[in-house]
Amino acid sequence: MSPSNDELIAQAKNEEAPLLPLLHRLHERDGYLSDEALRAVSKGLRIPIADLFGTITFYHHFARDLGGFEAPRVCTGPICCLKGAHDLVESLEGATGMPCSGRCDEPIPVIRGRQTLVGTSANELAVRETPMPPAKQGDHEECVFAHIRDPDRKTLDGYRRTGGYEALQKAVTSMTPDALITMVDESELAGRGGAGFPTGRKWRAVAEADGGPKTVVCNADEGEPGCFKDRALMDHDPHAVLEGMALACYATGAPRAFLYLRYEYPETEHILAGAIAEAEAAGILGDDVFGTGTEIRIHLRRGAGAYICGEETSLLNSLEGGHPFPRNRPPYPVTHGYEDTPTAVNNVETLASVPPIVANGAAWYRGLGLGDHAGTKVISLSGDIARPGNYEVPIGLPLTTLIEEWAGGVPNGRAVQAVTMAGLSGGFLAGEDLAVTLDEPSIRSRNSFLGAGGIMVFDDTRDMVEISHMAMEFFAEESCGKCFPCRIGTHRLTERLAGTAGPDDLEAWLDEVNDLNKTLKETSACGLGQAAPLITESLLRYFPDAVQTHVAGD
Amino acid sequence: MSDTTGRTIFLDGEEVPFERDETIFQVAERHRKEIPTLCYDDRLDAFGGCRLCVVELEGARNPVASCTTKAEPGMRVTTKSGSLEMHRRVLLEMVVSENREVDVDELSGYASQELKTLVDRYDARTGRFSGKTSGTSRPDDPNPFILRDYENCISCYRCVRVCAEQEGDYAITVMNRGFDTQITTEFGGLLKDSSCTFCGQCVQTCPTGALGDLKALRFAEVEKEVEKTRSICPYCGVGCAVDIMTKGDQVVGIQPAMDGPANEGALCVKGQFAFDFVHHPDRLKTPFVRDDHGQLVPATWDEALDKAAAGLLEAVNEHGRHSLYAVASGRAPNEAGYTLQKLVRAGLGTSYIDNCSRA
Repeated sequence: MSPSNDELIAQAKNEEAPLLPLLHRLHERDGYLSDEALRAVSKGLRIPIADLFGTITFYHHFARDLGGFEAPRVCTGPICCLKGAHDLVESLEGATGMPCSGRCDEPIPVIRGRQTLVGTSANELAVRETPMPPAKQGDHEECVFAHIRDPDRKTLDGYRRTGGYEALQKAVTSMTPDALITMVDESELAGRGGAGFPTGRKWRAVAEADGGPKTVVCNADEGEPGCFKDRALMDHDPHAVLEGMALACYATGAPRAFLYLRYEYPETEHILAGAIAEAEAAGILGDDVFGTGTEIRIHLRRGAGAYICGEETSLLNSLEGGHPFPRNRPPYPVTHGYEDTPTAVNNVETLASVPPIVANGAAWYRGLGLGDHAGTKVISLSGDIARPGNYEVPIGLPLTTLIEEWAGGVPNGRAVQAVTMAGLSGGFLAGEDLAVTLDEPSIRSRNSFLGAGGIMVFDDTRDMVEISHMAMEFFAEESCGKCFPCRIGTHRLTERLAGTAGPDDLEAWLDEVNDLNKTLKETSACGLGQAAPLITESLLRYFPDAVQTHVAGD
Repeated sequence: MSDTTGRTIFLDGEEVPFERDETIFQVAERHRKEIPTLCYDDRLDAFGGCRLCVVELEGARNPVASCTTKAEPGMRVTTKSGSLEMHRRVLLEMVVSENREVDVDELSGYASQELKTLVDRYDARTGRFSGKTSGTSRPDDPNPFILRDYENCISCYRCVRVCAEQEGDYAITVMNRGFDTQITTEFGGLLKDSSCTFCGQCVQTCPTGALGDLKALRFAEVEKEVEKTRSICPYCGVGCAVDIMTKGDQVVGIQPAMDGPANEGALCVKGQFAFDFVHHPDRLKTPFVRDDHGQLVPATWDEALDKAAAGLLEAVNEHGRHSLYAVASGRAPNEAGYTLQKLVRAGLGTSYIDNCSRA
């Protein structure tokens, strides 16, 4: 018999960050979130019912109609659209679209309940394991992918066979937290989720902040279209992520950590839950880490479909059960994070980089980059490319080396017309600017940024106005609605790229779009609204003729 | 000005002091910088949504929202520049483009003219950024107090915030996200089925008239100027300051006084909406006493007081002083309550005195 509301609520009351797990249990039990269940949650967790209702409608995936949980959701991200995602939505009964679900290196993903199927048509949908990163290319050394292809790597035994958890053991038994932070600092590891903040500095700020308990959050809400690196890491090397989190806990003095996983990775949740249980059973995690008395508990929490929850303060609000609007900063999470405690929010790849750094030393990691650049970056490569997938590149590698030599170039004898940077957030690079190297200074000098490392390739047959429209539509759909420029501006830009509103006269059209670009970029409250206009800016920069045809006809 | 406290910022080049925890916006307000804003209500936590209050801060990559940025020693802030004014105008043009109309009757609510005033100040009625409008109005909500005209809503969430932060009612919320955000009650229902107490605070803080005072708007067509008279709410002893709005001799509505010392802008449903008794035909305008047949007939105050005093004395004479019991009205202020107990204790000689809040 399935558990009652009361039983589930009683269970939730004993958990940290109880709202999302409770809602997921009800969602899966009933196949939707009923009024009755929500009223019970409101009463049980003492959340005003109006607030609770508003919050669940914010998320993409909570169904409010019976059977909605099992209804197919088809990825309609930019790459899947090129593969015919809209036809697939039409051909599956009860199906709806969902924003990019992080499988751009596979056929189109379809989520049904707790299962992801992939395929390009209704009759060939099948379960498929997450693709392994392609074999290492070039003679550069890898960091996070160095052992990912080892057999049984995802099991605790397999992980320990090649030195897994030795870094944690070494840290908790023979290093002070301060020495660990210094080591990470000296490695020059910086945030791999896109913001590039120095990891050591963040950890030190949390360690030195007043108040507690300290908290570590692993941001696994990988929502950026064209980014699927964190899923590969978590699916094939889950213990590396957990070890990185545990090291972050030790460094900052946090007894607890949350791993906030995006809704669209149901299989990953299963893998991570198993890995946490294995590590706890082995005394590696829990209340007595490696017999030292150190407490490190990792709580797995699953989002419900909202790109903005990848923004760290939205994520924290979501985790706390609040409305997932971004917070005003300062104060920053390092002093006022989860439940106002000092909190280190780090990306999956960042955390997975820490165990190898502890094992091999700061100088080793620094030396992995080319020239003056430190370390490596995983690039998720997709679109019109012979071998899509995740590639760990030394920072500073020429983009063309990655595209042409490592990934086999553009298929069918076509040429690169444009690539996106930072998934979609960095806008396009094209023409001479494709000669960038994969590091922030080089890419930023072209008015873009590397960000989380998603790169989509578009060949010279693609309609760049239409691709820009898809990109802007994504931002408009994912805009949280808190700040005016983003809420209205992304919608107005989408309409202008679709041709459904706006002037017919090119000059007037450009006048409006340029003003929208500038105001979004400079006055939006968070990165979403600030980055969205890079799409339109770069479209205008590289493809003015296509824009003219779009607005004024031939 | 000399820097004695170590707490000064440079506001448009002028060195000015600030108090602990003050935001740039608050400092600028004191110096009459007239920074525009739509999501700000000084009774509420700063929200940072409308972005009209952005100012340039030396060293920051982008302009910062002055309402959410605390002043820090040595900050150099520019509140007005070509670029800032351009952003403000573009933001207002965007807002105008999503709404059905900008001009709403001033009877809609206390803050209802804020959008219109800013749009005119920035000359932002340009027709730019046309496209889909946002918000779904709720003409199906039959409540007699609050107009829910969300086609004029700009999603500043002042209504949601005042309901939660000031009233603690949590009756309304925001659903969906982005351009589809919509102010709603639980499950999208009617206000009467929610925890709404119809205090009208959401109406009074709405800067666009999307939420309107339906009782006042009944008189929108009367072609007379609205006059406001400061008074005190007649209902309970709190003494909320109100502005009584009249057109000619007609009371058309009540607005809370934002500077009322007892209420600071707050009112309850009675003070806000229950003023129809003023012009009601059944309203008592003179005292009434019962005649020999037990029928109520109009009387003068002297007649009425004499009659009441005689009745009280008769009861004391016949049944003793403890046969009397007085109940002070909860609507009476402390001074009136004091006077009554004095009358009862010293005048009538009994301690049987109580207040209707308890009795």
